[in-house]
Amino acid sequence: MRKRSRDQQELVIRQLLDRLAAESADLSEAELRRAARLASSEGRSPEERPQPWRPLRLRWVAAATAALLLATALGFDVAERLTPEGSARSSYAGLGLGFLPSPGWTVVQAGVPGSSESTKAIAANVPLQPADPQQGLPLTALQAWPPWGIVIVASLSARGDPERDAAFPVRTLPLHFANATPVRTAGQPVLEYVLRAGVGGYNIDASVNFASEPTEEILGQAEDQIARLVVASAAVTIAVRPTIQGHSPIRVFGAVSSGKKDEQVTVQYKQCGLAPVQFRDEFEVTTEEGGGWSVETAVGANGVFRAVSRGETSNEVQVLKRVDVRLAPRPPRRYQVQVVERMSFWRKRVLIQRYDRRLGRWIVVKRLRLEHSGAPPGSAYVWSETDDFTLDVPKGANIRAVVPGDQARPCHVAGYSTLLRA
Amino acid sequence: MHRAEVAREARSGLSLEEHDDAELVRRAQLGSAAAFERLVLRYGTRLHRYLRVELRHESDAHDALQESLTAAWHGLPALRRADRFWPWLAGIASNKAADVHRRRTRTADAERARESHDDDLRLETREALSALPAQFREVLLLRYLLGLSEEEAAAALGVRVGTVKSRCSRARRALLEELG
Repeated sequence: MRKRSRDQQELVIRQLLDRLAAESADLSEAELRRAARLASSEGRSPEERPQPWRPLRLRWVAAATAALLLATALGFDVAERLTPEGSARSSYAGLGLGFLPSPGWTVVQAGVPGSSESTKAIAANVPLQPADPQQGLPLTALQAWPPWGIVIVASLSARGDPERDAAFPVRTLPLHFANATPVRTAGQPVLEYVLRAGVGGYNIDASVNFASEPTEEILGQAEDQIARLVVASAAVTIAVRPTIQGHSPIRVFGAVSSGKKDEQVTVQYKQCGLAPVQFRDEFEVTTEEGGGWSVETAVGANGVFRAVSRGETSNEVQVLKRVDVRLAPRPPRRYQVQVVERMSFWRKRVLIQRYDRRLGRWIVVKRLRLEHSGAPPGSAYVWSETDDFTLDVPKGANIRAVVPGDQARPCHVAGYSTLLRA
Repeated sequence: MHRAEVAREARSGLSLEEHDDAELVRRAQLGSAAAFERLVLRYGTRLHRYLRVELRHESDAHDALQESLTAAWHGLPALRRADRFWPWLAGIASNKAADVHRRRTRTADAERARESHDDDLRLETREALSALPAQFREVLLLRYLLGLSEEEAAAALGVRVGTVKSRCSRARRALLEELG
């Protein structure tokens, strides 16, 4: 009896929660993919911890390790003879990250050259398909590749995050396949290797994919191609995480190409939308072993960061913020929109929207201007607000205030208030 | 099946879809962004729904989802039991949601409490959930919205299974009493 009562309670609660969750639209697949890529683009996680001991797999692992050692040892010997030492370093200044061209290989570079993040290079000995994304694994090409196919995808991110850098040992070019870690899949041959290295102020994360279990010859080809990876390093790099400010502190980090410890780096900052617009020195930091540096700043930054070391200046990284907009009820039946930011939104346009259940989308019901603005004495924040207003919407409709992107730029991204019931 | 075909399948997107969580997690731990993306496609929608209900604000839910995924990507190498990825991810989202609650001002909470919804039942449910202690709300959402088992919810919250059982029982009663 008691169990039946519990089951009924659970059923009711499940139905209520499902109904609540179905209130607004789910994220699309594209949005989820974007979120996943944004998360993984921030650099790979630290070294994998040792896996729990599994006695049943011991023999298999031992055999695979022995085979791998033998195969890679032979493969590297071939590669050492074919690849001139140091050939990869000098030719492609200003490239960021890329593979030197070689017969039979397609090489692609994606991302912004010189940028510290999201730069990717792909090398494949099979044709890449037009449908393949430039920023990810070329899946279309991989679905139809021959057994001798090799695809190498390398990404570049700035050093400076100590936790992350631990997974990227400092190395010099050319890189060697011997340092790669196999990605093991139970019951299947090793088809993917991951090679990580800290080179010239950057972390290189390379994934080497084989169509089938690589022979000595194929391993040799992979070694040759890995050796053709070149990095044109900036004297000092900078990256900021996150670049759209939420509620957490911002980590500013980077590295110097010399890789030396105790180098002086000055982080400069230019607040967006405020005078003076010149960069001012914000932090002084010194580099750690490997050349990385890192500093954390409190919430509130909304501008451009850059780093200076030994007279060399890094690229600039902008941090944006979502506009903090509120739709406040002013009983009876009146409302007001308020924006509180570090800069005035006076005379900026805001939209009042209501959700149309029949159409399944938000409809603009009023356009207003933030007519009043001011700041409390001594406060860094400025309030901007509309006059009180009424709305001609059905009773019970969901309403919200929106500061659109064109009004939020250049220092902010669009902001949405919480929902209210009319 | 020919070895090359096995290999081809193993490398294709379809193959990734067919992998179980543990395999995808192992690949993601070694740095496979494609495997991580597949995990996000598998669980992202449910996670976003949970955050939407918990935080009652689309923008906050979206931010919390992004923060959770970023934390998950960085924390994956430390995940020892690859088969427990989903409760582990739910636990991260739960912590992120708690962070957002802590950061909110009382005024903002009051505003959110006045949020409105499509019908009275939803409004009542939402208000009843808001009235529950955070620990009760958390365990209800993990159990009945995300569908975690008692053991998984315990792992996600870092408490004992018995604690989940008792909290769940009290939370159920409290919610239904709130709803009248």
